[in-house]
Order: sequence, then C-alpha cells, then structure tokens
Amino acid sequence: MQNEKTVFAFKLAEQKDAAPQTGKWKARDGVSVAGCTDQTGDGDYRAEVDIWGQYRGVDNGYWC
Amino acid sequence: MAKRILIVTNRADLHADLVAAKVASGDGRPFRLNLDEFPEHFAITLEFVGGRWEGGLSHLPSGDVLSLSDIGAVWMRKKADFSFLSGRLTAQEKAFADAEMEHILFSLLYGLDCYWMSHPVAIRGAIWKGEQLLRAARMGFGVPPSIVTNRKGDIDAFRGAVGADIVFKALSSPSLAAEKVAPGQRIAANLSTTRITEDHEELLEAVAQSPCFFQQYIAKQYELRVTVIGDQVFAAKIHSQDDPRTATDYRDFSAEILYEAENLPPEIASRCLDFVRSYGLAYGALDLIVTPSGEYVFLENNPVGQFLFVEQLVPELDMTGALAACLVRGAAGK
Repeated sequence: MQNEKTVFAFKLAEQKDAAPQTGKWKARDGVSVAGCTDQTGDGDYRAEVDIWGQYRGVDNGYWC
Repeated sequence: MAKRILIVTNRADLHADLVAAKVASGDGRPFRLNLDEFPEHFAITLEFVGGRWEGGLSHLPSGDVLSLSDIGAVWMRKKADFSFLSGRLTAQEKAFADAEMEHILFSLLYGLDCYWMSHPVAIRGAIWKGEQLLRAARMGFGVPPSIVTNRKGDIDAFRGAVGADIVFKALSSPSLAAEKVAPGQRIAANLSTTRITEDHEELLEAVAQSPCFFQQYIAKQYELRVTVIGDQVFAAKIHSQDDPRTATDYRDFSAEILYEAENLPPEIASRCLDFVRSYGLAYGALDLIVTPSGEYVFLENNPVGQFLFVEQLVPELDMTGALAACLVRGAAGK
C-alpha cells in the first residue's frame, strides 16, 4: 500500500504523531462514551476495548 | 394518541439512546431507524395511492411498525452506511443498492409534513464553514481573518499581513475521512486544529496538492460551546487555556479541563439563536471564542453536532431532556 503522504493535512498529522507522546491517550472519566470518539464507527463505545482489541477513542476524541 | 418520532441515526449513537428513553418517558413514541441496519433489519413498503404515499417501515427484530401517516416529528442525527442482507454484494451491486437506498430514504423523508429537528435540506445548506463565516460576520460576530489557498506564497503573505500565528483547520472532518476507507487503508486517524509554526515551513509546500484553510490564531480567554435546541440556548464555558492539550483545539477529551454553565449576554444568546434559525434549523452547536478583551469570535456551527459531552460535564445543562421535550411537542403539533 502507498503510505507516503502527499496532502498537507496528512503530512501535518504525521508530523504531530511523530512528536514524543507523554503516554497512551485516555478519555477523561465521565465523558468517554459521549459519542465524541471514533468517527469510524468501528469501536464499541460500551466496551472496554474496541473490536480490534484497542482502547476506545482511537481518534483521540476529535469528533464533535 | 401523539404521533411518532422518527430518529434517523446509527447503532452506536448514545445521544439517541438517551433522548429516545426520555421521549418515551415523556409519553412520546420514538421509532429508531439505524441506517447501518437499514434495510437489512427492516421491511419497507411504500405505495403511491390517491396522490400520496402510504405504507411504512417494520423493524423486524422487534416487530415495531411505523406508518408514514403516523410520523409527527423527525430527528436527523447521524449518517451510516446502509446494510444489506447479503454481505457479499459485488462492488457495483453495492454501489447501486446504496444509491437506490439513498433515493428511497430521502424520497420518504422529503415527502413528510411534520416537525423537523432539522430538515435535511436545511442541514445540507448549513454545513459549509466558509459560508458560515460570512453569515456570522454579517450578524455581528467577530470572525478570524481566513484564507483558502493552494499557494504557499499566499499563506506566507497572509501570515505576514495578520501579524500573528495562524492555524490549519480541516473543513470537512478532523477524522481525515478515515471513516470512508477500509481499516487497512487508513493512514491517519485524525487531525485537530493545529497552530502553524516555523516547524511546518517545509510541509506547507504540500498545499499545492489541495487547497487548505487557514485562520489567524485568536488569543482566547475561554471558549464557548453554545447549543441551540428549539428556542432554548445552552452555553458551556470551556476553560480550554488551562491545559496545553486543549489550548488550540478544545476537543481533546483526555484533558480534565473545567466545563461550566455560562449565562450569555442576552444579545449573544439571541444572535446564536438567530444564526441557527437563519438556516431553518431547529438545532445547532456553535463554537465561539471569548478573547481576553471580551470579544465573541465565531468559529463554526455544527448543525448535527454532539452535545452529550457537554451535558456529561455540566449536568445542569439538561440538553437530552430539552431535545426530547422539543420532539414530543413537535410530534404533538404544539
């Protein structure tokens, strides 16, 4: 698959993702199932992990 | 008996779970149409007889039946891909079946004479963020200087002219269209509104591929999420500047910043209401900045935006209750 980014937004996202992370992203208590996570719809907001076995909130909550 | 309230959404919509329960407890009669189960789990027969459409939908697992003539209100919530009995349709069969389903669904919806939260034509007309800025400025909001361009030189000139930092903002979706491709084809998950610095100088050449949207970075005292439901205005003050993760874009729900109810100045509340109504919408979720000098700056309006995260963090803003009550009243023709 072609993974080299060409579009500015993707290059920018790649650069941000490459920055050192302070820890695994985790939704704050009380808001993680508010429908503001996982726009892809692959996650199960009611489960501890999504169907891929990953912690929910794969989009870091950027969906409102 | 009151007419029914059709909720058009998808299975994962927690907002719809909670509002439907409140509709039911308020003597309303919700009927949920999850598009990601449609038409797989529904029977549908519509017949044009005597100058009008008759018939309706049956939800097969529950046996619940919705007659077209019994729909008193529609809540348009979220989209989803249609689902068919066979998961083995060829690509062209799937494309055709999707197109037919869209045609059937919107023929059904557009033919309804009922209360709308909000009508799909109004929603479609309201989503364009560039037009929103124009309207917001006309109505008296501050609006950040903005530029759309595929020329890096024009970005440099814009940055020089505003004499301040700029931000890049995805106009369509911060998900970078991840939901539109298969999981194995996703190369990025999201991109929040991002402050552009000298570190991005080289990347900016890539705007030549596709025009991008930039705005002057506006210094913030705090942010507001203003949710209009019917004729009610709910405002939450978001202390986004208290954490670096939310300083540029407040939508990082890992940061435990303070959200609290805000009493808007009456003219600002009226302006938000007027803005939403100007599109014929019954719902809108506006993002505003309040600058250190107290100016109200418009960022965007989301005609089907989320509101539950605000209510969860500020429980006194009972938006699920207000929305349910609005739908029940609408279905009753009040």
